[in-house]
Amino acid sequence: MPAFFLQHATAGVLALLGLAVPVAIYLWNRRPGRVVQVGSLRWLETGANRRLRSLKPEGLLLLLVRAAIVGLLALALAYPSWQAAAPAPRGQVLLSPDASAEALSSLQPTIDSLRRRGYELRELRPRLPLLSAEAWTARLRATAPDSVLATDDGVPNVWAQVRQAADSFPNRPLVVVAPLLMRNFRGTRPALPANVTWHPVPPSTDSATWLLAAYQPHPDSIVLVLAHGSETAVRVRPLRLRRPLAETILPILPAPTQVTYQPKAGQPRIRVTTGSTTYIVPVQATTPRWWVSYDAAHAPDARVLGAALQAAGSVAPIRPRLTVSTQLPPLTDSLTWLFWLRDAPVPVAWRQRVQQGMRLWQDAPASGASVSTTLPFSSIQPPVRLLRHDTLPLHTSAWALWTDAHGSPALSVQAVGRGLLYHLHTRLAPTWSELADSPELPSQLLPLVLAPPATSTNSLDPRQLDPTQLIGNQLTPSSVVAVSSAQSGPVHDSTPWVVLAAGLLFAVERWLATRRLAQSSASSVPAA
Amino acid sequence: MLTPEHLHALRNLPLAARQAAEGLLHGAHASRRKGAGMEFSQYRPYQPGDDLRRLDWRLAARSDRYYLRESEIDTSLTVHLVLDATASMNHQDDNGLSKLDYARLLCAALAYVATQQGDAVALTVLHPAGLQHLPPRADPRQLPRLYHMLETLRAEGTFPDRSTLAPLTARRQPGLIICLSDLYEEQDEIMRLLTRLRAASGDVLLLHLLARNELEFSFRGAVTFQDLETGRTLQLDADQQRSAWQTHLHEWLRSTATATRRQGFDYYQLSTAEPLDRALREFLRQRTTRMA
Repeated sequence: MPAFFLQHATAGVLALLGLAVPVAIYLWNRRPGRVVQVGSLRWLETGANRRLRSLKPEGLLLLLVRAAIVGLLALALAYPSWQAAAPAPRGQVLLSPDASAEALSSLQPTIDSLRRRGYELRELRPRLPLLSAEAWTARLRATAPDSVLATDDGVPNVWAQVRQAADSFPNRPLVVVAPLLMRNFRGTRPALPANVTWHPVPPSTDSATWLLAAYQPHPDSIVLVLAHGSETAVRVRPLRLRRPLAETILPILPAPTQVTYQPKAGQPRIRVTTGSTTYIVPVQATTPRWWVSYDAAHAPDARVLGAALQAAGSVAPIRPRLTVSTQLPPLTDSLTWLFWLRDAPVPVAWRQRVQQGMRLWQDAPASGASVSTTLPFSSIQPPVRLLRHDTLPLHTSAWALWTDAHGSPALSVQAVGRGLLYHLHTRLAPTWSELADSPELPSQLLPLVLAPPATSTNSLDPRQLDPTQLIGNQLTPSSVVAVSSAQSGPVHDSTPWVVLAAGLLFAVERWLATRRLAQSSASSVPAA
Repeated sequence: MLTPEHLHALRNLPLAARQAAEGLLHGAHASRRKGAGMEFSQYRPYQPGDDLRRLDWRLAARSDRYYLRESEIDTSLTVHLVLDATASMNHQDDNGLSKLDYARLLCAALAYVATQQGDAVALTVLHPAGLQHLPPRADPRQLPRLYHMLETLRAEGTFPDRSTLAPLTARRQPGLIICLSDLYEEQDEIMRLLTRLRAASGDVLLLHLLARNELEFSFRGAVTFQDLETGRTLQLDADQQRSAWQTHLHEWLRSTATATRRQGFDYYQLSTAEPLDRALREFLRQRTTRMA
């Protein structure tokens, strides 16, 4: 709505004092005048009555016109401006590339109606490209999209993209059309403005089976880890086979998927082909190396962790070689995991190894705050009590793996390069937590330590996000209002129009004044 | 010749009157009628019909010729000053002199001149409260009385009514009537009075006093005009009134002059900004013609 306001109201108010000038002129003209005593009024009377009658209204009209001129000039000095209404924000429909044609067909009336209301169609991809009408109809006609097996970097993170879109199109309604695939929603949910609307669509497939990892614990056998994912869970089962010959097709996945054992350059690997897409799963033959390095203060922690890792490693396809030592590991050692239980910071050399794919585990620094909360691992076991907690903030790119009853993360992970940085926000020592007494600890550690390195097979995970997760903490209305006021329309200066009006009024005033003079001079001529 | 405002500034009516009259009388001689009197004038040969009593017997005895002895006759001209002292005479000119002030000076000067000429001077002030009358006398104390009466004079009110004026016209006293007035009358009461005075006394010299700002209407801007006699006020722009005023005024003056002359008055307009001598000369001229 256009708003009228004055840029320099004080100057205008001061200039309004100029109204005294026409009023003074008017009063001066209407003053009684000096009194002259004459012998007779006989020759004044005829003209006088007429004169006095016509003096009043005309003088008043002139006064009003002059006051209006001064008022307008005062207004011009105050720089009157009006702010145009901001152009109606065009809404944006963000289409996820993962949305299938069938799902989009069911949403077509909604999206078409939005388009008729001026919404723009964009793809939920980096740089949010605009989707033309032709592309939109093509999307509707397209068959099920190819199960694109992008690399991990290429898999879009819907959270980040919606956040980016909300920043790119402030104060515009956003409609996100995307399947709620959990793999596309990584990290913590960002704070999104209230004008983001979600239209979840069903994914193209609701279940999938894929080869998660392959191990060669013995030269004559391989262990394949197969994952079967549904909307709610992923079940993993190992499959032990005799080591096949090269280029042997393994009948382990339903058609049309083809699994081929295909060693290359001495490295055994398995090739999985589905239609036009192919992914390679390397067969791990080397023993993973885990190293727990601790100092004196961390001796209880190292004992617990060592035991838990021992237990977890015992069920691994290839039993890892665990070293629990107060020594620093030699830099030449190709570690898979380094558990850093020291107060001293991690040396730079090992930090760089994280970039290359190593996983690093750290716990809370010595300074911590006393808390009283619990860590619910499962619904069967009683929750584990946490006594102390570090005060470090969660890294922006980190996400919580274990969350305590208060909602603060107990274990968080952060991707650094190709590796992962795990951070336990408490300690395993009894003064910090009761994790050491929990029978759940090894089983909770198992998915972490046995997780295969990030592969493209992640994109086959059909698990879905709980829709309630979409409604997270939203931006407060006040911040929205602040943004919207900054985005109001252009300010138009009306001063020239006011000055023009004053000029026109001045012309009217001149005309009135001359007419008045002419009338008075005509009336002073005797009728004779 | 001193201007009227200077004379007024003297604040001394006798002195002002003398000052105004002296310059005029200097070198001027009153024409005198020859006839029977105390003072010898000339001899004239006897003509039949002459009064034998005026025959100079001594000369006849000496020269055996008959001559008549002529001497100046005693004049008994009465100058009757009639002064209009109604409120309208308070009209003030730009020089600060009201018509009454001017008339006062003029009366004093005329009285002085008349006294110098041996005339008896009377003064009548037309006042609504009643006539203030100073009867004619030729004695030397008449002038101070007249001066005093003029000095204590105030102009107020309207023209007196007929009953008040009755004593003025009742007595028949030949002489020269000099009337000083602004002639602002409600109807024609002044003219009627003068007509009756003329019938009763003889010649009437009407001196019409006009202020210069009245003649020229020199007022400017917004002015509140107040009628001196009725007190009524009018707020006007003087500039817009000027031409109409002057047109009306000159028309009135012309008609007034015509009317007075038709009545047989000697009518003169005097501006209060003018020196007094014009009026005085006119008086002397009138006197001379009357004496002749």
